[in-house]
Amino acid sequence: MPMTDNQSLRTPNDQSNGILLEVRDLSVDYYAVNGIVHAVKEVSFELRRGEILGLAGESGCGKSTLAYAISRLLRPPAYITGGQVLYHPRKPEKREATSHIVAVSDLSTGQSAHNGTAPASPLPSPETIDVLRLSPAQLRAFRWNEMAIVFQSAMNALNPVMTIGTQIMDVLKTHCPDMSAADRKERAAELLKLVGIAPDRLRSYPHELSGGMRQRAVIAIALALTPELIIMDEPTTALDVVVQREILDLISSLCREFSTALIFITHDLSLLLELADTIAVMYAGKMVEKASSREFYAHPRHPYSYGLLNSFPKLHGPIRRMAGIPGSPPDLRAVPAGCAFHPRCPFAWQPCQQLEPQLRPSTAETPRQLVACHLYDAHQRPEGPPSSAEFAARYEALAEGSAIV
Amino acid sequence: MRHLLRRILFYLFAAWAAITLNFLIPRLAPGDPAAVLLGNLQSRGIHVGSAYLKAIQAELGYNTGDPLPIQYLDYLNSLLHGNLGVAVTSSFEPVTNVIGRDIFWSLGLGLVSVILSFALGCLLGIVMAWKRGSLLDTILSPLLNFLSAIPYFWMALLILYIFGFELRWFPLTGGYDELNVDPGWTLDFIASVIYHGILPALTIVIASVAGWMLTMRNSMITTLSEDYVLMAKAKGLRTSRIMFAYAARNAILPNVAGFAISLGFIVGGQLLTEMVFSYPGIGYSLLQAVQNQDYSLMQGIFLVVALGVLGANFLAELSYTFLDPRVRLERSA
Amino acid sequence: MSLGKDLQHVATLEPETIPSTFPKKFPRRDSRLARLGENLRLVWRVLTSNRKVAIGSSIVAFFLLVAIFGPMLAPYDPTATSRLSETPPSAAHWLGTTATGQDIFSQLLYGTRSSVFWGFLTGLLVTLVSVVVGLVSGYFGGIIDEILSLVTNVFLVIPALPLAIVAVGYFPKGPLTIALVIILTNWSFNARLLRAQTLSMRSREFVTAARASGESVWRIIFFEIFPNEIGIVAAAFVSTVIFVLLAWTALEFLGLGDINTVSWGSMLYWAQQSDSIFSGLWWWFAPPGCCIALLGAALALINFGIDEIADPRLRSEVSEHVPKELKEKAVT
Ligand SMILES: Nc1ncnc2c1ncn2[C@@H]1O[C@H](COP(=O)(O)OP(=O)(O)OP(=O)(O)O)[C@@H](O)[C@H]1O
Ligand code: SF4
Ligand SMILES: [Mg+2]
Repeated sequence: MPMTDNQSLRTPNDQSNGILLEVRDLSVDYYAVNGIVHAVKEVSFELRRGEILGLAGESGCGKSTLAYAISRLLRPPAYITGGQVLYHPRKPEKREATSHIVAVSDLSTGQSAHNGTAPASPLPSPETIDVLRLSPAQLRAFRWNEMAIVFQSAMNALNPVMTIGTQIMDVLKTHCPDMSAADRKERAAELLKLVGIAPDRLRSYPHELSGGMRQRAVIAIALALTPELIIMDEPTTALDVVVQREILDLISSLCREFSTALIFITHDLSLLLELADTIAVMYAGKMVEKASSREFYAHPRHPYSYGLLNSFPKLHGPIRRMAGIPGSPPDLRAVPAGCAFHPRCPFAWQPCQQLEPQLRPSTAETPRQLVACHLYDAHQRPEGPPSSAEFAARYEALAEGSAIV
Repeated sequence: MRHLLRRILFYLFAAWAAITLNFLIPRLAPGDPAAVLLGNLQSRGIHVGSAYLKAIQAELGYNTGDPLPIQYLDYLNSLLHGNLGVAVTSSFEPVTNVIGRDIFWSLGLGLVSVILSFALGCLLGIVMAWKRGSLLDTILSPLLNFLSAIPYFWMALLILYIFGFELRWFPLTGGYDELNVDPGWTLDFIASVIYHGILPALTIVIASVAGWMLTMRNSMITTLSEDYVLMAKAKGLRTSRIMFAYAARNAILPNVAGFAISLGFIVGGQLLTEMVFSYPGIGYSLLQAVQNQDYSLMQGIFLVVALGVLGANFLAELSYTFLDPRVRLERSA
Repeated sequence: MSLGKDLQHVATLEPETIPSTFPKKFPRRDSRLARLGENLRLVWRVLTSNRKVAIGSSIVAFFLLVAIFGPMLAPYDPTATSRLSETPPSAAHWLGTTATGQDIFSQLLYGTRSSVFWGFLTGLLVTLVSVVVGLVSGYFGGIIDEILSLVTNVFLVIPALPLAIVAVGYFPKGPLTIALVIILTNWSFNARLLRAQTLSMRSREFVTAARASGESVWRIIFFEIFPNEIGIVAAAFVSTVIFVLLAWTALEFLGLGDINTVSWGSMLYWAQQSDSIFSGLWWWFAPPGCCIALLGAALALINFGIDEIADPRLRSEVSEHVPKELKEKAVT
């Protein structure tokens, strides 16, 4: 995996500077009744400890599928057809140092030695965990301890017939068998306080909470074992704007506090620009651009990213027609040859229809901004990439063209 | 609390409706039941004088010349005093005595079979949904579908024929061995009761288990695709915990909610089963009542069965309230 | 007799949660005829597209054919007695003979006609009552709904068979009595289902529009709303026929029907009266029960298919073309 590195906006302490997660050439297919859907195609990226990666893209481009694949939650008819997910756990001694809130059972040695009931499931190597190869028992030990996931709708993610408290304590009971019932309760209350819910809500059922409170409760559950990585799949979509903002602030402050790495999935790029260190854009199952938020905001390289970014009204600058990107994403059962974006791309020219562009450094000035587009390939386009002004002009022309139709 | 109160009121109303139906049906019917009864008795060589006919008519509440409302009040009054008339088939014994004797047999058989079939059905449904597409699922699903369409009494005939007549593993009739065992709390008697009860119970369980199972399977499949089950999996919980506490715990709700309707059918089926096995429960008495046009007994049995089913439904609803926090209205506020 | 429970979970839901499963599959458009046509076409598509539905309907069609043409093919008069009593199945009597020497195969053919005819006719009438009560109750709401719902719920919890036995016992024996009693005791379940559905449809645009344009209430109910519920009504009819068949044969088995007509139920009645079991005459009581079970299972199969169509999650996954090594690797 060459040079898929980028400068984090924050200056994290050295301990969290290592690579946490490597995804290599991950592909997922849905074997649906009416054909095979290539929902994720050879996606590779790296995530550092404590980094917030925002994953954006239109509906149906495979964001959720990617998230589920990483966490091994895909269900038939979805199958991982290739690739690797490598996870680098913290060194045992370092882990101990950070697990100040709960005694997380040591994953690399399998379980806490003094507990006989926990499944004997040592994870393969303390250095690297090959997530896709974990046995079911190892997977259970890995889950939530290291990687937690938050789903789109909190109402659906909470068991309606179980109190919030029980749902938090369930995690503690499974993963920290040494904890006493009183400790579990105390920890659960502490977690609720952390996300801004009164601890007496432990005894509440999900339907007794408001939408925002439910999402907070889900986040509390996600934090229960202070995992290294949380994946959030559109955690705020179902909420109204004000609550959305509160939840986002909560997420961002908590992640920074615990230096938890975060993969945050959303349609809403403007939201990512604030929250994320790094932004990755997906189109038709492929990652088409990955850059730090600052670079991405300053100069989106991929024509699709540009269109996406400019489909949000800007507060400053000239008023332009906000048509977004004309056309709609392709059917993932029959993705156009070459660059999948070419039917909608204002720059598309001959090589785009034949050659599939690969993710690579965009320009010499921004080597960490990766893009998959022939515009940045010196062989295909010797005159160099287009300027910002040219992007704007092409899109405007496209918008006018589609407006007539 | 308000929810509970409403349900209590509803069941009281339903009980009143059953009682009133019981009163109205004979009076809407053409002809004179008392005369039918008399003819019936005479044809069996039992001669009754006209004075007795009057008494029977009064007892049955027909042709008394009183206006309907008065009859109705009389009827309610005698109900209140536990008077359901006399059973002709059982040499003019009070109906309450007949039912009182039979009811324990029926209750015992019914309770055991319903509990067994509910538990078995739910468990099978859970496993089949969990191991969906497995051999168990692909074989059992269509088989149970077929079983569920078999009438109880025919299932009873078949089971009786195979295990009673052909194989001679089990007795053909009765609730216990009347020749060799005396009723009482003796080991012999209990063993005999169980031995005689196995085939009827088996019939009811086989005929009703499919309903529970198929509902449970479908509901479980739907529940398994819920996010909270996926989240439970992502939490790294044990499989049994996910299966029961997260999935089955929710999936069972439709089965409990549908308990009322299912129970009505199972009880009907049980009556038929008792008839085929000559089991000494109220079903068998009902058969004799039907064959001998013993109206008082028929009506008495209907009333008891209806009230029993209503009571059981109320209990099922109470347990539903307990199982589903969302209907515990008094908590949310 | 706990069939049709596949619909139960729908019925027990709150009204507002029901539309999420059904209406998607039973869409509505504005022109009345077009909507009815579309719904009927949908029913047809359902009949042909789903394997369960296809198998079930084929079996049902077979029984319908036997009901129509069977008696013409019967080798004997079903009621004619002969000296050949209690003979096991043979070339001359495919299904053997009864205690009085009647040919059981011929009885079965005639019995199919009677049982299928009355089963479907009564099923239709039961469904009709459910539709009227359900739609009126759901559409009007208010006090009318309160009362109708109360009555519906009461009939739902009073055990049907005992009530039917008592009611039939008082009236003249015959198919009409049984039909009426079965209607009385079986309408409530689908009435509740349709009430919930109608309730959710009451505020749809096309109903509001019809109301605004001054259409009469009855036209709205039966020409605007009803066509949109054709799919559910069809499913309800199918499950109703199962219940009706079971109830009908049970009553006949008890001798409460006309014991002199030949039907599945009366065949079982006579078999039971002659203690066929204790003489080992399995060929007497087995065939009618098999027919009931087969027809009932076919109808149930149709309903499972409809359920799968309405809720795609129930469909079995098509993973035949998934490479084997992927399936083996996929442990979650
Ligand atoms: N069960 C399934 N069977 C077949 N195809 C599926 C299935 N689930 C998802 N897909 C397809 O896989 C693709 C990716 O879906 P995914 O849910 O990952 O998209 P997404 O980017 O998360 O979209 P959204 O933003 O709407 O959540 C979609 O094109 C979808 O059509
Ligand atoms: S490769 Fe071609 S079609 Fe694809 S985004 Fe770049 S310019 Fe557009
Ligand atoms: Mg998604």
